[in-house]
Amino acid sequence: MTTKKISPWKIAIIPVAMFGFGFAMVPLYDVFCDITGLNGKNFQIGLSESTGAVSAQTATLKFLSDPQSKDTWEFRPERTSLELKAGEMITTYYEISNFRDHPVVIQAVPSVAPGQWAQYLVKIECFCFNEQVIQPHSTLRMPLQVTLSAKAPEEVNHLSLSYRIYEKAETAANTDI
Amino acid sequence: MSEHAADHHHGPDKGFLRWVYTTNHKDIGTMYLLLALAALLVGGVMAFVIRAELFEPGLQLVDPNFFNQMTTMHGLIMVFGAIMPAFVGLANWLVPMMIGAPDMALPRINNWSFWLLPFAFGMLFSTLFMEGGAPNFGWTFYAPLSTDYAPPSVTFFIFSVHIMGISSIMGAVNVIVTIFNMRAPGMTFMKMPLFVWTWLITAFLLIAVMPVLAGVVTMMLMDIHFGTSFFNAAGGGDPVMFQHVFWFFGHPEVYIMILPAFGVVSHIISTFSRKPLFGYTSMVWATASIAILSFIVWAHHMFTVGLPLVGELFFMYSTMLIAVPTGVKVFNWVTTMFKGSMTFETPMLFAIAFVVLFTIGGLSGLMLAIAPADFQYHDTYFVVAHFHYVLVPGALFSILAAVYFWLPKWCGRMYDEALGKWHFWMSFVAVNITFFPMHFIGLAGMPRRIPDYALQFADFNAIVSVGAFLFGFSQLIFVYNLWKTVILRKGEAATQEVWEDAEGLEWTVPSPAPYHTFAEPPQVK
Amino acid sequence: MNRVGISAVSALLLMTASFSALADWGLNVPKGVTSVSHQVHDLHMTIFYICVVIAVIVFGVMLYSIVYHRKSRGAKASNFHESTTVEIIWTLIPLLILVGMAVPATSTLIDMYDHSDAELDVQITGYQWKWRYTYVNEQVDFFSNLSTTQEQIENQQEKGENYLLEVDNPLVLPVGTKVRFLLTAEDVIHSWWVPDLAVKKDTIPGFINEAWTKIEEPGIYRGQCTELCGAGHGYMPVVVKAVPKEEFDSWITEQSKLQAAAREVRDMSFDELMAQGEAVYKTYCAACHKVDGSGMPPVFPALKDSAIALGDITKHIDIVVNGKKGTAMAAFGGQLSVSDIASVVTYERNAWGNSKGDFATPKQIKAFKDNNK
Repeated sequence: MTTKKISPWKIAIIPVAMFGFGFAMVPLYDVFCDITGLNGKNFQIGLSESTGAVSAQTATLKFLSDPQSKDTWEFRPERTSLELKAGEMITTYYEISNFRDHPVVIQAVPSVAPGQWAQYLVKIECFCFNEQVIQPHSTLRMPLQVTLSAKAPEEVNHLSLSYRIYEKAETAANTDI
Repeated sequence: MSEHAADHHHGPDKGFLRWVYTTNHKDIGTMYLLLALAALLVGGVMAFVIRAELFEPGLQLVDPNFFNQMTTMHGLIMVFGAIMPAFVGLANWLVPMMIGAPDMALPRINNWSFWLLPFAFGMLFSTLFMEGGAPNFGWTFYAPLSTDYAPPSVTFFIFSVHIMGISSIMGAVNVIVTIFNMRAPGMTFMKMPLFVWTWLITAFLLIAVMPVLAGVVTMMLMDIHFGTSFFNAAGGGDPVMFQHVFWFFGHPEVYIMILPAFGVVSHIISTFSRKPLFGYTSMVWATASIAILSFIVWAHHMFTVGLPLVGELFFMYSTMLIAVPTGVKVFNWVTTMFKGSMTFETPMLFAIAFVVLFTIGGLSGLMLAIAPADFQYHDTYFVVAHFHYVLVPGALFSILAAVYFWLPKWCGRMYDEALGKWHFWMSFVAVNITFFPMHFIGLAGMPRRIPDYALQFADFNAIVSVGAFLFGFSQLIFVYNLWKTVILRKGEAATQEVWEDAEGLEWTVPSPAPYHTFAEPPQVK
Repeated sequence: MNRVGISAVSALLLMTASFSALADWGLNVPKGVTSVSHQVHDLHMTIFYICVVIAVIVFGVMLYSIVYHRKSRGAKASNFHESTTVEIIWTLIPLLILVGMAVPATSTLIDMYDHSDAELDVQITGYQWKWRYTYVNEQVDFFSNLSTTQEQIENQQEKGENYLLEVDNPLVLPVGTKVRFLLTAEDVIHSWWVPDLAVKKDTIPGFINEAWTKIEEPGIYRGQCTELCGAGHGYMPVVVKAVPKEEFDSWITEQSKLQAAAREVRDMSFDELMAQGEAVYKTYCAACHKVDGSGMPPVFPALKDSAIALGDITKHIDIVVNGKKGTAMAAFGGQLSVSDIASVVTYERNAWGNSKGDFATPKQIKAFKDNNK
């Protein structure tokens, strides 16, 4: 026989590697989304050089809340829209109410549209960075500080920011918070 | 060595345990084919339920949740239980004989690869009887419908997929090692029959993407039972990522289901045209290009999900590109027929119908590739028409053609040609009555996976349902023909060559092929 | 000639000839009422005709061979089996055709992705199994449910003209205005599609997608959910009612006022509760619990003669408002107004032979929600 021999063990490396690749796709997907803005989650966080700079670029930013969150928590933005100027920081608020007898812990999950422009929205401070605790029978006024990145190209003239409220599972059982 | 071979006269064991313990590629091939036939009939009954409900507007027979179980299970059983095992069965029977090898490289793994399947399908089928019912989220099982909103049987669905995946992966490794290591002396890669080439390439696709499917169902399992958030926005996950990982598997999967068909059809057309296959080298390169390109087209299943413009354009272009090597293959088949000397026995009828009807499916696929137009086609019956054309008169017809073509070699008797032709013509007519109108109801706006529809779709749905029943019952002619030929042993004894001008090492052994063939490798010129 | 040839040729001719006829029968992609839908329709027809031409050429050659190159006709097989020139030619020509197709496809797609300068924003949320429309700046928000009756679905009544394509509250949009849609979902992935607008976009829970349209002609445009979302997937149609701008402006102002009024709590009589309850029940509950309250046990329990409808009213209100975890019973507290909940609870306790005799009031529901959300 003149043909080269191949070992089944060597071939079997491929399926094992591909199984790992399937899982590696998870962080790869995050990196990819970061670069392309595929899922509208790659808004910038915090101040950096690009946010300090000022340019003439402006964009209308609309504030939305997920309708079900609005019903369940009376979660709503204080303003529905405002004009963002690159480099200029603006503060606005969202309100959320807890009607129960015990404190609740919630996590706000943001989403930006269009996804590929999310990278030009800079959030300096956001209530979505952390879980929030809301005391019984009270309303919390949560701050949001945003600006437009100076790197935003001319066509970026509108953005929509929406939040959805998720309740953290442990609150129902845990009344000692 | 040759002395031992001469003494080696015992045939297969007797009794049921023969089949449980066999490591013989012919036995295992037979078992895969029988399992596939059973799955075809079970999946077919589910199609009957679907089409019976869709015969008229309104809910007549089943409730929407059960309807969703039927569409899901029909898809899973046909894809994983009928088409894939049938091609593996053909590989088992034919690859060793075509390369002059005595058996597969890993015979015991071969046995295990088969026997995992009845267990996996038994588990999947049993979900119909579990509380909450069978999986009802489509064979593509998108999250979160398949995670947060799934019936309890989803866990068994996941295990069943894992087991089938292991079977496929082991089988594919077996095929690769066999083809690399056990070709007869003189059979270089570029002298291998095309069916062997297409299976070699298919096997590489399998080992590359089945593990990714295993990964995605494991992520589902973790989300459902272990509190992770791969696909759940609340925990920072993303349902769209499910689709990316699934279709990264899913698209190569559909090529896994068609490349062996391309191999079968190449053999049959050249035999019955009495002419060598046109452009062998080009056919090999085209198959390899299709396989490689199949890795970069997956998101054409996701054009409406909200991809960025650049992504949509990329996947549109890559998908359109894959039409080129596919077209090359079709042209090569047609040129093989051209200026040949054709006869039209049953295998040739199915092979010619494959070329025509698969091409129609391919052209509707090209229409789907055009992303802006796809916004009107996606998730409608236009897609259902497309994939049924490539899978039914595509893959399934090629499997039927292969069985008719090689059955005389396997069992030593000619099948009943008149019955074969009846089976063909009834299937051909019925398959078009069933699936051609689906193009139009899709374009007119009927979505997929709905148990009930608006009145303007009624007439064509009734026609489709009639065609479906006709198609289903026509397959009984085939089953009867098999029974008559193999079990009742009626039918002429087959010669060694079986078909005039048939080429390939499998035609150099007696009919029926002895239990062990090529104990001594032949010399290939 | 022979049977094969004649039947094949006739089949091909019939199919091709029927396409233009079929377009008139409403069996083709519609031209639609926006510039995007016109572009998509033209693109579709172009690609389609190219595919027909390719098919006719390929099948024509095959047919010729089947007729003339058959052994029974005495044809002798040639032996040619490769030609690099020919392979190159039939690789390049399709490639050029594809490039030709890609150019208009690319420009149409670029147009579809131009979401800028919208004059109206509408948030669309997919629920199991209905749509919710929120006019973001005007603060108008409502659900759009299938309005075809269960009796029609269960073949007890003759089906209406717009069977399964009609809703109680359509999405009203102004003509000649660029509308931006912000799409999301509450539970699983749905997809919002209106063929006449050529808009189809998946709605993903936890994420926002954008789409836009500018409707040129007033009219009613119907579509459906196009992503499997559970048992009710076939029962959540989309209806868009496009009206002239002035009509839209007055409609939205009126809606704004009506919604503000509905948010107030008022007293209702038992008869009012029963009447409204029956309507709410038929729209929101009957698909699972059946018009006669018999349900589809065990997945969808019966309400007639049930412990829940004949037992403690607070438990009954609780399960309607908060749903039941681990089952398909959703929380309707967020979807129904307090008067709707009060009436449907009242109805369930007093219909189909249930004669509990008690009833729930809107004030009671509001108090329950305030204390027990």
